[in-house]
Amino acid sequence: MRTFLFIVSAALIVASIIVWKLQPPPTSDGRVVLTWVTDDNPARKGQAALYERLHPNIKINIDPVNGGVEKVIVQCLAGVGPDVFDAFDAFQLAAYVKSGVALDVTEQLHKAGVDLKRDAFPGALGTSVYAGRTYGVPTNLAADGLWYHQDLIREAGVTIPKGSWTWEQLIPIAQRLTKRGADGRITQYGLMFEWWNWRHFFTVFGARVFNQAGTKCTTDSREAIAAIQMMVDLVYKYHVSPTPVEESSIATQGGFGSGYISLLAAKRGAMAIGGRWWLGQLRGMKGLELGVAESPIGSIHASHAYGRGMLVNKQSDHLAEALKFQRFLSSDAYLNLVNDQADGAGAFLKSDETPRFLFNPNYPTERSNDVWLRIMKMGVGDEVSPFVDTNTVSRLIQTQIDLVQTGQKSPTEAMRAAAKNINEAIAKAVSEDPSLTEKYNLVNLEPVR
Amino acid sequence: MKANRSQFKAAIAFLAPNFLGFLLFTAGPVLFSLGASFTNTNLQQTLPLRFNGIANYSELVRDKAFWLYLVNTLYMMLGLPFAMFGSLWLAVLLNRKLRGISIFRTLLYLPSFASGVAIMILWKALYNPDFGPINETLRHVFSVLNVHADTPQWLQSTHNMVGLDVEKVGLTPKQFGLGARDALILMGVWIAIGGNNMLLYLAALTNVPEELLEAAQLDGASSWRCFVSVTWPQLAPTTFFILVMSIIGGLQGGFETARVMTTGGPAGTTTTLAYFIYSLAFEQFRIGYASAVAWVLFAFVFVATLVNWRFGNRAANEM
Amino acid sequence: MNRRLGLGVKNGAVVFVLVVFAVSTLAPLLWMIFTSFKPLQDVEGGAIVPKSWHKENYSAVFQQVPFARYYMNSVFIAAWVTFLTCLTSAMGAFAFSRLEWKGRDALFRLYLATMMIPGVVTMIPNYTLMVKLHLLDSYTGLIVPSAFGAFGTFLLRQFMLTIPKALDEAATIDGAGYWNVFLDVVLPLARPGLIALAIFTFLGNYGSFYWPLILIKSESLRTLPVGMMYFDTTYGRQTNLLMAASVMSLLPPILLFLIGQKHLIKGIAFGAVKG
Repeated sequence: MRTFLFIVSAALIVASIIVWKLQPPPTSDGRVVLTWVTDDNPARKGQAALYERLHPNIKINIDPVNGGVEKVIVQCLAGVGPDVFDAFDAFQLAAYVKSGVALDVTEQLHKAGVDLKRDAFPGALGTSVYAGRTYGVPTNLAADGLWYHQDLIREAGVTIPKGSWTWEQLIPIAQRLTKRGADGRITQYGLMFEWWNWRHFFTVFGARVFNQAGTKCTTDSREAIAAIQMMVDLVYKYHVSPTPVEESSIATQGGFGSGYISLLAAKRGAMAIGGRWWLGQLRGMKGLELGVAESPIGSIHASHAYGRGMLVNKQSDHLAEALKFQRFLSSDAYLNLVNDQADGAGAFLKSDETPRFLFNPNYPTERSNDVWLRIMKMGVGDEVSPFVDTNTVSRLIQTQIDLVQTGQKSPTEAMRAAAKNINEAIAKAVSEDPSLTEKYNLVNLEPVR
Repeated sequence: MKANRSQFKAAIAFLAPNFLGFLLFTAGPVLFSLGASFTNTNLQQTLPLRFNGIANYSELVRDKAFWLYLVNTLYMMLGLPFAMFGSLWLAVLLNRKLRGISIFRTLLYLPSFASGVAIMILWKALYNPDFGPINETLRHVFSVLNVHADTPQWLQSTHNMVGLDVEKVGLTPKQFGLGARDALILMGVWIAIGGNNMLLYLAALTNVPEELLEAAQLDGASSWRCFVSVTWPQLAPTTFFILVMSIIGGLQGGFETARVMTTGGPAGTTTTLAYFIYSLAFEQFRIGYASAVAWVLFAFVFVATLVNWRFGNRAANEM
Repeated sequence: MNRRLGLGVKNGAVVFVLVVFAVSTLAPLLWMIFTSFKPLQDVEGGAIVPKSWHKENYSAVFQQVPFARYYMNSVFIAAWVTFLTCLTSAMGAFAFSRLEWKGRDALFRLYLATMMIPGVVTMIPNYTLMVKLHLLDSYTGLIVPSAFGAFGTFLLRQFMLTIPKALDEAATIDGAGYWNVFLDVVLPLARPGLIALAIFTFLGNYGSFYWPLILIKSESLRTLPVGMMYFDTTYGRQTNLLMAASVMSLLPPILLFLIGQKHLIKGIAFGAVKG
């Protein structure tokens, strides 16, 4: 036993020395290392490389945690956070701001002559501006349109209208494009959309999660119910979109993005709701004849806009360098790169209202950038209520959507239940926090009990 | 008396390394969380930190979600007895001196090797309601038996074997069937049955004195009789250990499966208390409330273990 | 003659049951191996056995991520944790099972009780502690907090309780000190328990996911489960590569078990109880 213990300890110590020796040397080339928490989109490498080329004293270290808000917050609070990190939606921005890890950059940006409200697409502000203060610079912008296979459309002898159109116009076209195999299983869906993308339907039906002041949840509105009803009908009434079971059967495989992108590429669907960033994957696939149209609308002319915003860690060791890197996102060099990579599109008007964006000779088959520009211009970002924790809201809505999707509740029942649950959550949050109560009573005439 | 003092000194020496680590990495954090459970600690510091007494605990009693997730947790422990007795049975079978038995041992222990995340992704594919091998097989069986039945929707379904309601604690015939929770139970049994518990039983079986078994056999006892009167009592400490660990594991379980396979859905039906605590702490940042839920969970586990302890000691004394 | 026949039938039944179990165990794992050789588009639907064997999936794993580094990190960390856990737990278990002292059972129950605290709650305080100790993003931070489980102490105590006390009493009368009794009598006899604990600890830490995920920032410190998630992210899933990575990640634990189980079989039966 003694010899055994001795041998094991000796072996472990030797192993430790070896592992130590094999450590890659820390960047001893004198460059300042900025850690950037973002996603694992391959485009990110090109963006970091561009910045390193323009600023030889900086090394960008990409940390792809894929939206792990908790990790970033805990690390930042502990004083060891990344220098810059991306907020993937308005909810994450709110979490970063409320937990006090994101630096308010309103003044700095103002001094540098960047005015997001003037320069950026309105739909891109949701991940950068919170309660009137600016914390981030949008990294890119996406808004969902309708992808379609031009050859399949031709074969079916249908046409897709240019400009805005309605769901009533879409349904017969989608039915014509839905094909079944000999066993009755659908082999080609007319329209593919993802169930978590209920925000898209909300947006085009003019439904909002909250009222203007954020004091009341409005998922029980006529518009909201109509939006969810449309999702249900596309699946269960018109049979042009996959049911949850079918959806899981054709589930997501592939590289970055993947999922419905590869399904569209494989012609499992003739049309699909998605963004320009799908090009990142679609470009690599040969022999596709894809077109883009606006998504059908319900009652208002709008699209659901999303994208990331880059925030700066208040406690970064390299604050000046981090701020400079953040401002780089508004430079022409960066915006043109994003447009070329089709990483969504640049979030600033100056880069997209240009001939360079509308037609890129390197990608001569991509003739839809004018449609994307239109879609982005009518983009509406996510709403956030100051009175309720946004993760709770998402969870409460998702639970009800799950029940609708599995056919256990009608959209009306589900959306009413969601509104009721969220309103209860608002009431509770407001009653617990005196400062919130005050704020709430200011904007709401009916005081909270 | 003197011997006792020297034993005490020796005990301190032997315990020291373990005890220091225990204080630093277990007891300390646990006390911290106990403290936090009486405050409004929140990573989103909208409110000043303050002591709020038992507010978290009284909120919990009224929190519908807590009760639903508690029921989920208990429901998903239904697989434990199957896993335990299955392990014992396998261990008894594997304890024979047959040629090639070690190959079986290795094969049956294989699921425990595999990295958790990979196994969960694997099962997600197996449960695919349309193309997954499980439903393909079921459909085949149904057609052979000439039964007209729908195959379960597994991870997409809120159904369960006793008909638990989705939005409130209660039963409803509407939910009767097989669903996501049952899928996770089945997977749990598959992973556990040939796993560590089997290994423990196997090790314990080698401890059963062969003289006793031989004596019983000479007395003409059947092999079942031998097992019940000789082997089973000898296994009591191991059974006790496995039972305690299974219950603790079961009450705390469901975190990784929820995170990797279901994100707690559909409609929250696979959200266990552990995943609830996780999402309270790391998604909603409500450390105070999360700690309170954790301490209530701890109380359940503690009571369960105390009951076991009584039972275990009695079993141990009887042998 | 008759008895032998009966025995043969019985053994046949045992083998049959074992084969059934083994098949149900192996089927999903075979699927995993088959998938690891498929091109991506054949992963879902389609035949279970690959039409053509894409061995390049395995080299692709090494090309897309520094897989060898992940490998080394996982094995290295798990080995240290296993060693430290076995040592500290055995010493603790010795104090709890072989020595008589005041407050022993109370303290043991406290140990037992802490096992019931859900890990997610101690994670934040532990994380802050790591920061205070400057152990973030370091091997030490990954090894030390996992090396003092109450679990191991509990397990080994139960094992040591089954070792006849007469043995160490005899040794004590022969003039052996506690340290000698521990090393020369109890530890060798507790070998099956130690091996079992070693296997548990190694597997648990080799596959642990969340702690390394939040503790590590550098790519060079990533462990296998964290690194493998590259193939299964929100933005893309390469199941074939994930399965190839999983197959490869299984090799060290299988090796460990193959070595360990020999000792396990020998167990106490061939140890000092009989010898």
